[in-house]
Amino acid sequence: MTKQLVIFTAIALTLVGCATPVPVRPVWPDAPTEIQQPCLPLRQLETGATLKDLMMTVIENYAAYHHCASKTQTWQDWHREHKKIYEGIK
Amino acid sequence: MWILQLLPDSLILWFCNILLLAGIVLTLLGFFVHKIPFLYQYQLPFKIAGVLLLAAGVYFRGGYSVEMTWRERVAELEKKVVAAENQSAVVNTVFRDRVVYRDKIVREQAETLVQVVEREVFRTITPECNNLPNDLIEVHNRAAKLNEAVQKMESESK
Repeated sequence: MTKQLVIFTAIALTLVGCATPVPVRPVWPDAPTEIQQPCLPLRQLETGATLKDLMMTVIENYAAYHHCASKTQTWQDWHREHKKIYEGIK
Repeated sequence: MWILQLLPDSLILWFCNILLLAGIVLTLLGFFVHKIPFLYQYQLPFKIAGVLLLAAGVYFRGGYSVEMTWRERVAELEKKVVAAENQSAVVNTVFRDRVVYRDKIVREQAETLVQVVEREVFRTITPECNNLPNDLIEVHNRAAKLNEAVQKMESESK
């Protein structure tokens, strides 16, 4: 009986010592939906297009590029800032 | 030590302290019990029980300290996570406003440019110059879809 009690106590103490605390897991945030939109495809000219059409299309395509570049730049800044914030949790 | 997380701190502390104190008292009694009438024959059980309780008390007191250290660490981290989430929300708002503002400026600039072209540039273009050769249109369109091959490859690989 005494032997069994000693073995039981030893096993119980061993099991108690093996437990680990629950870790804290920060959730990585969602980026603003405005920068999650895909970049627009560039506009093409139709057959028989005039110089006016060409100029308008070029302006539109440059605007589309600048929209896309702005989103990309914002993504990079967003990631850099959040990396800095979340690396502070240690 | 997972079971400790379910119990209140004060209860665990009381349990550890009582165990430790009982261990100390019984161990000391084990050395002097032979001088007490009616109890002198229990010297050995007193010593064994005292040492066992003392060992268990020291073990659980140590475990309690570790548990408390972890709880403090978790609480500290939870505070930092909440602060980071708040900071992240502020940063998200800043970036959302920034991208909306940039888009607005680009759109306005493009509209202004279109108006300038329609109002001033077209007057200087003769009808002969207004017609574009088909080769130029094709080159423009090919340039506009330079990434088509990449997109095709990516869609095929999916």
